[in-house]
Amino acid sequence: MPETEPKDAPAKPVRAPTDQLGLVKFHIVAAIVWLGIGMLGGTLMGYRLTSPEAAEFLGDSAALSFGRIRMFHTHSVIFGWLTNGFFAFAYYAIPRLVGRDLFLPKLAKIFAPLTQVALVLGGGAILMGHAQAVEHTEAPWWADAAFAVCFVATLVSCVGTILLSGVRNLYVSAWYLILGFIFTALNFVMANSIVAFVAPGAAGAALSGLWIHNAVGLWVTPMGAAIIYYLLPVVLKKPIASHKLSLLGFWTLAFFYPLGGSHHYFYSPVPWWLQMLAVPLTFTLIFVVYSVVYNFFATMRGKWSQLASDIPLRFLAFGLFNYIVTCTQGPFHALLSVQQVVHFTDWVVAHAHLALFGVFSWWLYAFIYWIWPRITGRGYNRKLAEAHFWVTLIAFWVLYYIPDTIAGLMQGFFWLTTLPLQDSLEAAMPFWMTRAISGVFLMLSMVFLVWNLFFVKNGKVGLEVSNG
Amino acid sequence: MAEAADNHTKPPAEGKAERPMFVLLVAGVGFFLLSFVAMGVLPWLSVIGQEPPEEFVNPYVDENGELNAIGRGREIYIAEGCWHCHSQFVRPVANEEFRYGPRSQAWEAMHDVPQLYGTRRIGPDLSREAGRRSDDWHLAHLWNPRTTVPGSIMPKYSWLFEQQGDTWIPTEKATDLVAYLQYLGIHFKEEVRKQVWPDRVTVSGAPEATELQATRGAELFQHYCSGCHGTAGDGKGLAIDFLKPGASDLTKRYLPREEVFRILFMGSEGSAMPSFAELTEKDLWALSQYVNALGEPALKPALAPAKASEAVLAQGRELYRTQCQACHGENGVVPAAMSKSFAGGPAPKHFRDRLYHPDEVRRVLKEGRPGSAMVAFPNLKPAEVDALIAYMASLFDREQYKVKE
Repeated sequence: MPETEPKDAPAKPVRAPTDQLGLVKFHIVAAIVWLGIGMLGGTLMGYRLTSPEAAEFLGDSAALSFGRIRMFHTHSVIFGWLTNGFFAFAYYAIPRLVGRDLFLPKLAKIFAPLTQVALVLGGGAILMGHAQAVEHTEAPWWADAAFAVCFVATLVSCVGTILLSGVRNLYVSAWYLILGFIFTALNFVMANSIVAFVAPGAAGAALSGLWIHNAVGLWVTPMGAAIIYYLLPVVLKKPIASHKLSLLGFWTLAFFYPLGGSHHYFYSPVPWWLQMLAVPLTFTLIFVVYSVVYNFFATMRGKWSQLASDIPLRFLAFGLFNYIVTCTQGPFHALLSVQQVVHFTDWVVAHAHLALFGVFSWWLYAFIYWIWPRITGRGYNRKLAEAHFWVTLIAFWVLYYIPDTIAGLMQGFFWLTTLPLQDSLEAAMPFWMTRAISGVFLMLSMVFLVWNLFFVKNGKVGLEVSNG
Repeated sequence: MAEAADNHTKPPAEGKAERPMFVLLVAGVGFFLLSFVAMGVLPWLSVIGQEPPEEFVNPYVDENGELNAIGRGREIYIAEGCWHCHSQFVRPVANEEFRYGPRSQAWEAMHDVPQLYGTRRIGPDLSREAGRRSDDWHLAHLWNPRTTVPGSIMPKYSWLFEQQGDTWIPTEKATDLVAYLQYLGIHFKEEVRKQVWPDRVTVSGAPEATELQATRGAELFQHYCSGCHGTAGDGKGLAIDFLKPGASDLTKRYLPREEVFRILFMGSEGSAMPSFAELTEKDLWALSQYVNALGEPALKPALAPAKASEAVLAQGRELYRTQCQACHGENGVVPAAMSKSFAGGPAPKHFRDRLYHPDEVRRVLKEGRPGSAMVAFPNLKPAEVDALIAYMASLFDREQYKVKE
């Protein structure tokens, strides 16, 4: 395919950097292991909600009790799976984005395994009953401190590479990478110090809202955006449609997103003015969302047929479809009439899984399928990849997302009545059953992924691209 | 070597807003600080302005600053992740004040670091738990939630208990956790109490007994009652080791439907028997019919002593007057002052409204009712007990409850 340089591309040629393929591979493998563990925990939890008998499954083990697994599950998927995946992406993309070798590669190589140690310590501490009560960072302070050091080391390598490259005009993925790393380092330390040990009651809730909201909004989202803005033009071999729009999307995300966090505590004793402020600020995010969506569709113009054959592109596209759904839901949750019904219910659980699994995990799948042949020189098997895609798509939408959303609505409307709470649980159980089954299928799809990456011989797919 | 394809990830033109340091400082650091101030510091200052109505010292520590039972209980609550399924704030919307109690105030959590408001509810909100249930209910429920709520999907916390022979004894961890649960919402305890444990109500107008109600009642009984009262209603449910006073053996007492309805509606404060007022009136009557029928076998033997000779009845009356009347009241109507929970147990029973199988009376007189103010009367002679049984049977209001002999 002939090169189609953007017309206004800078004249300065970008030097080809040395790839840190070992580092990228290490983090991808770690990410996949954590995803497997996280899914196992999620499925175990899901099954236990399906009936009073199921609630007693492995019920004599304190370490495997529901509450601890609940915290272990989010620990595994947010820090183990997504964060490792994002590190892999950052180590690969940043040198290429700025045309400079990775800053302090030795530091990165030392801290890659140490990150896993910190995560294992944190997860183990949660299972042993040493959790702290800060949502989405329940590992105790010493494990959090260890993880923070690892995170900052990664930040130094990654952001340092960008700053030292001397490149003054950055591609949008690099902005998102800088934003995600810097904001999240500050946010993570804030949560594990001020929320965990200083801020009481309603003030703590407001800051906890800041943390949980931005763990998703300014870690997972910018990293995901960095991936799709990087992969989409590379896979399609054409630049993104509107650079200006991506600029607008970036700045509105960075400015407005952090200010809406108190919407996690609507109608709580958190000051009312703050809750009221969160309504319009949250609603503004719909513009961020549609800037990404527009850019995707405009860039895809004329390339849709490529979805049929291109596995990474398909994960990107269907992840974007989930992004449209989940990010359209989000601003409407901030409307108080909606909030009254859906808050505290499974609606939110479904929404969160659509974002963290349906969007960002799928974009990571896209990255993994795209990068794997480049790291290992091994292609993958198309049938297995197709099986992974279709089982994931169907199990998640048909057995998880739709039933869980219905269950959430049922709970919300049940609670508006004066019927016993117990009735709302029983009404949800059939839906929870399909959710538990979806967990089994999603783990099956993981088997396809792992088989494909590690055990398939003579896989062809992916190789032709890296040679192109 | 960098791929040619990477050439597509280049920005088109140079601009200030894209410089790395600018992005880092403004978006990364600046917007974080902005949100920290707007979302954290300002609300913090505004919360500090909301003082509690009266002095509120840290409830989690003793004078020496060491964690007390409530504080230790809170630690367990955190370690087990209880807050992921049980929120701790009552919203002023969606019927929550009716379901749980007064809406939450900011100052209530002023000693909670970190806060435990929670963002998800699988089980009920717990911020209005103080005084809602008895300690023994909580212990049984923690040991195995199916004991007190047969349909519950809560995990059991048996590692907070020790097995000694055939019974399970709560460890300090379990009692600490219960202390914490009983602390939650302590400032609104009286308001919640009035809402959860109403003054004695008068119930009348039981609908005609029907086959359909019997079926529905049986279903409801297994669903809501069998954990404590046993699947057969004989008081030998899963919770048997924990409850003091133990769950009533419903086959050994005849309870008119109105009386069952009253207990279901009010609960029995001081015992583990909660209120089931959330059920619909139809369901409450169906359940009442079923429980009433469970006691039918006790009716005949319970009524028989009422036909005793005048001399026996007089002896019983005299014994009742000296031994029972202070609590159970003249003519089997408990005085108003006694008709609420006292001495940490449930209120005394009105003998006007219920009939006990003679065996049950003998047992309770011999053993007392541990966990209630009903003590044992081991010195009563068998003849005296019989006289008491005869007199109690005569107190029962057969006319009102339309009981045929």
